[in-house]
Parts: sequence; structure tokens; C-alpha cells
Amino acid sequence: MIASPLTAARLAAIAVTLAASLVVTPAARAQTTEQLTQATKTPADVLINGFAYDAQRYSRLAQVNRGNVKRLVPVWNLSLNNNLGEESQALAWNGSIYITNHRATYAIDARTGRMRWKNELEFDAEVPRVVCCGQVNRGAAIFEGRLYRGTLDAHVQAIDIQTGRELWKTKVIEWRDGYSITSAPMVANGVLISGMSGGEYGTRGFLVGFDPATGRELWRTYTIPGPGEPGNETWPGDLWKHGGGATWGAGAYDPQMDLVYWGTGNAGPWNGGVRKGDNKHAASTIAIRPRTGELVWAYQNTPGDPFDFDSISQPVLGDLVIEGKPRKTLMHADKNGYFYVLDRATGKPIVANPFVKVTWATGLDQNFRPIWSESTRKLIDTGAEVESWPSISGGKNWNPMAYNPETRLIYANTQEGGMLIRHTPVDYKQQGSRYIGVAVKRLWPEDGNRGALRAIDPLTGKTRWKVPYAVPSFAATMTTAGKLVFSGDMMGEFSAYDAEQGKKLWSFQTGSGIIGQPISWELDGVQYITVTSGLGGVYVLNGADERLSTVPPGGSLWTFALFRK
Amino acid sequence: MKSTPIILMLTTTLVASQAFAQAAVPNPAEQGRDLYETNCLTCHGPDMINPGTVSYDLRKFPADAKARFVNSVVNGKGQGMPAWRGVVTPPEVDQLWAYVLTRGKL
Repeated sequence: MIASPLTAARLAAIAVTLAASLVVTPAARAQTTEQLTQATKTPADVLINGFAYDAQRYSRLAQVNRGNVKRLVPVWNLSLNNNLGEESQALAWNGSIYITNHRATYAIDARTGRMRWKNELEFDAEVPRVVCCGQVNRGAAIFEGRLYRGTLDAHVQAIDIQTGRELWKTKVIEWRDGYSITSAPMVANGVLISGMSGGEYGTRGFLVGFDPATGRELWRTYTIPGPGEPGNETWPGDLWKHGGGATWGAGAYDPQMDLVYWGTGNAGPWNGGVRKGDNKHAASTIAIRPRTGELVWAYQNTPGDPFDFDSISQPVLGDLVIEGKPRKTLMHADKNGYFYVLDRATGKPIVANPFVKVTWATGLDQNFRPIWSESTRKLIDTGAEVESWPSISGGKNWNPMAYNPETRLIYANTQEGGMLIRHTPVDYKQQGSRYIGVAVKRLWPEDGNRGALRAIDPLTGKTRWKVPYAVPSFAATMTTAGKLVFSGDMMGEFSAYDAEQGKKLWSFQTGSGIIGQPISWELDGVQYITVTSGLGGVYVLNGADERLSTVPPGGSLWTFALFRK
Repeated sequence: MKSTPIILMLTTTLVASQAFAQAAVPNPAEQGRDLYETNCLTCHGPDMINPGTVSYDLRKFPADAKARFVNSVVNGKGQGMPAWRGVVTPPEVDQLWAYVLTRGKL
């Protein structure tokens, strides 16, 4: 058959089609800065790690509530083909669910649970040598039709959100020098911002900003100041070069103030005896300008960090009434065991109280600087073994917490351990090698419960209610307008609790342990709840807890909705 | 007796050389433990104690399978174990193997 000649009408049709393909439709452009800023007004979607820029992990959906949560049933499950742990938070937009792990990014049909596309990552077989605490990824960002994520070998990747095709991939830094990326990036004021990991390998922490369209680096702000920068004098000699302060958690953003908030990790090496001084800005909470990376303020939670006290768990922004006045605050539960409420314009602490057992400090002075206990001073001065609480796992680890503006409570999975700690010799030997210098033996509470889900009053640090865990949970929490709290545990159970009373109202046993971040979204008028299951992360690897021998690894994504009669 | 001083001297030399040998040639398993604590503990657990799920429980590594152990360390294995070539030398892999055979009870 001979092809028919192109008629004028067909030519015109082709021209129209071509023109249409060049016009950027709203769907293809999503998400815009405006949509990201207004994320709390579109609770059907989950566009941001933390649900909105305030990172409250508060879903305004209320179809599932305390009265009907017992009818929650699984509607689909998808294998993520990974045995090393699922710590990621899914995103939900336009009928698709997006999820990452360290091996791949997936787009899933939200209605059916079937995969739409997969983008697999390749990296050198040696890369996991520089990953201290589990080969994981903690989430993605979406902006203007692209999905962004970090990679274990310290790249940032942009993917076409419709097709799954890689658009660009930028090397952030050399992984052989101890760097990796496990955290979720953020797009704020049109700039893609990523943190990095590697605080156990002699790295120097930074945040980095990219042009989201091209992957071109716009700025890089080190958390550890170099010579001539304020704070460099808090480091002896050239130890700042490997001073840690890794930015391995997720951030938050206040669009009105145009400030991005991030936590910084432990000072390096862990041995605080060899780097006497405050060691700024390790173990700190910092605020930067997203367009320039300019450091606007820094509050150091743990000066001279002697105990691997990362401050990296995602900051939560909330407007609290304090002494009768509305205050724009930043809430943070630190590994050091204190719960902080800061003025997020200035970084000045308003209140700070312990939320778990704390012995390393006897309190905070009037400037909110911790007062070292006798045991901490002994450790720093002599290196001799001392007992100290919390342990290097912290009072709360990386796993994000949630804030419910109706109950005005924080919901967090906390760690309840202490330790015997002593110093050992340490030198920076070679690029990418471990840089620690302490020896630790774990101590556990007498009641045998190594963790708890706690409802915490942010203004007092006091626990309103708690549900103990024998094996501690490293999962994030979520709270909803249905007055519920959702979280999972290491044994694989995903549960819903009454946000006011803490009573467990519903649970479901998934196929592996839960260390991920639940979300809630809506489609066709139905509220769904999605969470990863997949054991991994630091505790199962080096927590020496053999009770987990009966929990198989194996990553998958679960989605639940109310059973329809 | 003329020979006495010589015997004494010999004895002294022997004792001294034994002491020297103990100081200069440490137990390979102890060296392996140091290497393990630097490079391996973070995934395989303190004293090799771990649940044997996400990472391998080295306490059950077959004692007659050294070649397999060496291959796993050098080239990596499965989804999780990285390749340690270029970082851990062949004598150090031997030391790690000596430590693995203690099952963490050194």
C-alpha cells in the first residue's frame, strides 16, 4: 500500500499537535512554587516531605476517624524489590504515588497499586563502605513536572515525573571521601536544596542549592565554618576540615520569612576530647536563605558534642501561643534528650525541656547552653568510661515527628537507652575511613522497653501519654484531622491511636518491619493511608537485638482505606 | 662452671625473644577484631551479634568456607555487602577470618 500524500488538513493537524506539545500545561508544570506554598490547602495530595513546608505531618483529611478506623483494610501492596530497608516518605499527586529507596524510584497508579514506571540507580559496589547506618533513602521532592532525589553515591537526580526518564544527574561530591546522600531534598523559592550524609567518615557538612531545571549548582554552604568565617575559632587546628555537621535529615521552610531550616549532625570525630571547643555549627539547628544559601542564624543544641548528638531530625514549624502571645516557632526533639521551641525568625530558644531520661547535662543555663554533668566533664577530661543517657541513638533519632494543631501535641517515637562510653585513640587516616574514637556499651531501662510512642507537650517537654515498645521504633509518625496518630514498629505492625488518649484503635501486621514515614491522601472522594514496610536501618544492623530474627526483610508499599460495604 | 654464664645468657635471650615475639606478632584474631570494629561492626553488630536478617550473621559462617568468605569481603555480595578491595589487604582478610572463627567471643 502506498502511503497517502500529506494533505493540507493533515499538515494543519500535525502543526496543531506540535504546538500543543510545546505549550506547558498546568498538569505538566506541577508542582509550582504557589502549589507547594499552599500545600496545606490541598490535603488530597502530598507534595512535600513532611506534607507541607511546615513539616507538621498533619493531614487535614478526616474521613478516617476514631469512630471508623477499625474498618481500615489494605487495598493494595507493591514489592519494592529491596532487602535493606524502606525509610522513605511517599508523595501523592495526580493519581500517582511516588516512592524511593536507595536502589530505585517508583511511580505507582494510586487506584490500582500497579507500577507506572521505575527508574533504577547504578552505583559502584564499594559505595556502601561509606554508609554508616543502613543503605536507605528517605524521600523525594517534586517541582514543575520533575521529581528530585539524592543517591547513595552522592549525586542528585532529576526525573521526568510523567515518564520516569532521567533528565539530569549532578555529582554533588566524591563518595570515596566518605560522602553519601540518604535524605530527602526540598525545593524552596525555586531552588532545589539537598543535604548530605557521612558524619562518621571525616566529612565536612554542607547544604547545596541547584537550579531545578538544569542541575547547575547555585551555592554551597558549609555547616562547619572555614578559616576567616565566624565559628572556625571553635575548632582546634585544622580539625574543622573533617568536623562532621552532616545535614542528613530533612528540612522545613517558612515562605513568609523566606527561611529554610535544617538540622546539622554530630561533630566529628565522636571523641569530644580531641576537639575541645564548641565545634560550630555541628549539632545545631540552622536557618538559611534558599536563593543564596546565606546562613541567617544558627543555634547550637549541643556545643562540643561529646555523644554523637545529631540535631538532624526534621524541624517542625508551628504557631504556638506562649504566655498569651502567638509566636512563630520551630519545634525540635534533639538526640540530646531536650525538646526545643525556638523563635524561628531569630533562632533564639523560648523553652527547652528534657523529654526522656537525661544525665549528660544537669540542665540548661539562661542562654540555653547545656550544663555538663560531672560524668560528661570526666569523659572529656580523662576519656575514662562513664555512664550517660541518652545513648548515641539519642532520645529521638532521625525519624520525623508530627504536630497536631488541634491537640497541640507532638507525636514522636522516642529511644529510651543509655550507655557506657569511653574514648579510644582516633586520627583522620584516609579518605572515607571511619573517624570515631569512642567505645560504647548499651544500657537499657529496667522495664525492658527500649522505646515509646510519646505524645509530648512542646511547651513543657512532658509526656501526655505514651505507648511503650519493647523493640524501639525508628518510624515517623503522622497525625490527622480525624484525631488519629499513625505509626509503625520494628516488628511490622502498623497502628492507629487516639491522638488525645493514646489508646490503640487499629493495627495491621505488614510483611516486614516498619521504619518509614506514613502519609494520607485522597482520590475520588476516598481517604487513603500509605506506608512502607521493610526492615533495615541502624538498629537492626548494630543494635544487637536478636528478637528481630523473626522479622524478615523485604520492602513493599502498603495502602489502606475504609472497607466499603 | 664455665658454661653456666652461657646457659644463663641463652636463657635470658630466649625469654627476651619470646617476649619480643609476643609484642611484635599479635594474635591475628585480635587484629581481626580491630578491623571488624572499624569496618564491619556497623552492619554486622557488636561482637558479631545481630538478628541475621538485613545483614548476615557471621557467627554462622561455615568454618570450612574461607574461600567464600574472602570472595565476599573482596568483591561484595548480594544487595548489601560492599566490595572491600583496595581498602582491606589480603593479610587483613586473613585476620578478619581469624576473628570470624571466634564467633565474636574473643
